[in-house]
Amino acid sequence: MIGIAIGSIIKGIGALFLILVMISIYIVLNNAKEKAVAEKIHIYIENKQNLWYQYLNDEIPLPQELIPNDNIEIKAIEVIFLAYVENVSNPSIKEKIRKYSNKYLRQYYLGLLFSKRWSLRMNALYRIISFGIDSLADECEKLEKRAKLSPEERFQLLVIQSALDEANFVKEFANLSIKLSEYEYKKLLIGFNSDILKKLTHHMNDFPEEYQYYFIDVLGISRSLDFLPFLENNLSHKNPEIRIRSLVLSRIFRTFVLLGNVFRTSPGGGSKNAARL
Amino acid sequence: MASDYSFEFEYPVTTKEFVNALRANVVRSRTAITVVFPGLYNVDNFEIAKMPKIEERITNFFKNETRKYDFVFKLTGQPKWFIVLSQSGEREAAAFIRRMNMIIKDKGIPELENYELLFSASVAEIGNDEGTFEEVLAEGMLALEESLIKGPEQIEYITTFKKRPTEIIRVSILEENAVFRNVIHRTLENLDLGHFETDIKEFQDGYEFLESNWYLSSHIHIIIMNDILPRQSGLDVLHKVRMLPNNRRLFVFMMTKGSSEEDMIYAYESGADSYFIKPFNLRLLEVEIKRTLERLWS
Repeated sequence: MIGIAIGSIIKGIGALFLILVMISIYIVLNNAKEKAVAEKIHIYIENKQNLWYQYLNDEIPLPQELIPNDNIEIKAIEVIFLAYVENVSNPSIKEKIRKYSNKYLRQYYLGLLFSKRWSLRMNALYRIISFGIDSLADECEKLEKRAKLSPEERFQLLVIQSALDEANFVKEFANLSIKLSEYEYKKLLIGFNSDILKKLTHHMNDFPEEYQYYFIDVLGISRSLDFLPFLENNLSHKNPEIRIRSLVLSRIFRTFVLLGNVFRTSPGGGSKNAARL
Repeated sequence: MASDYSFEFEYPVTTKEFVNALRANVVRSRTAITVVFPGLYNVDNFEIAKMPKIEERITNFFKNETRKYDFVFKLTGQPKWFIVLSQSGEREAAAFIRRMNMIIKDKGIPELENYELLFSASVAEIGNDEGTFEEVLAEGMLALEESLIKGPEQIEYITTFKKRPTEIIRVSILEENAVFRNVIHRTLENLDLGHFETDIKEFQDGYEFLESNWYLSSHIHIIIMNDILPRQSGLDVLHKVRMLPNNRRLFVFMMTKGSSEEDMIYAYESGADSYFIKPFNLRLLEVEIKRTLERLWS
């Protein structure tokens, strides 16, 4: 027999029950609060999305009522901006979002960037890229120096650096301090424009061996004939794997060149895509 | 054996009835017709007695030089004609007149090679079935007189009958993201589509769209939809609408975020008219819609 008095057990159950009730109340209240926030965001979007359309499509200058008054409005603007950047590529719209975000959303994302919660920091990192908040580049660099960062954060910081600080990124890319999977590495490279890729061709031999293979694969995906001389140079590389990969791509690229010539010389054949097939 | 038979009609179709029937078909078939009124400019150079013969040969020349679906009528008692170019706009009519003038200059009209024949003309493109045959004829003859006063090889254009009738087209936007749905809606609302007016509806998925019966009307219908949608996908919708009778009135523009080329080929094979890869420029959507509607009229 365990020597616990019934009274103590009842008290224990009572205490547990109380805790349960308090947790339930907390969950209900929190849920209600989240619902209220979601509703406010929904109402903001319903009321302001047409005004945002007019502003982003150069129909009107920025009206005072589109300048955010609180975090709920910022969250609603985030939803609107995300809908644009994920679906619309008009350069003028992207530029307006970038300018607006740098001016009115910078402080909000700066707060999130140094938040204790990982999910909030990640959210800030994603939005800095999505909205092009280049005024936070220095803050991202500070964050990068923190010892305790998750691999996801490090990867995202790398993406940000590649977009916002091209010059330093190219230098540092050869000596990456974080380990990336093949998928992550290729995803990063595919996001680069051909100028960065061209600069990286000069540093390829400094990359770790497996990254060199991924790099050549991505040049193949780019289908840009600008990389043909680089690939042909690799045919005398000391690493046989690099020679083979470069040879395969060179032959494909050479075929493109031949086809391009055929199209150019055939009656009515266009040469518009000859440089990039 | 058919040549053994000849028929006579009790009520032969008059020129007026025939032209009116062609005009009535303009709106239904969305194909303009153009009436060309050529007239002989230097009529005073010819002997009156020889005129009937000359006019007859000119009529035969016009008949030989027009297509099987064009019609040449001669106005009684004057060297003026009335040529209906079906399936042609005023630009084609102008090209037709230039070609006639060139042939007459280079080779001449058969059996009239020794005559210098100079023509001027008026052109009336007909894009609606409003106005009467008599009005078309009156305006055409008036414009022809003006071109003849100006000199040989002149063309006067009549725009009175050219205006296309206002047509309502339906547009459905099937997109899960409510903000982007609204963006497309606003973009299309702002678009100047000439004689087309849009009736736009938004749907958050394929199921809502197919349940609505909105697509069953006989209107021209443009469907702009994402390939991936909750409940019923864009491809489901595409298959359903392409099974409908008279589905050529439906134009399906697909949108995708990350489809492979194979997926796109499959969608095209299944009847998609165009494919937009997100993110895309809204101007691209605008011009695609405009071009689609422009092609409806020929």
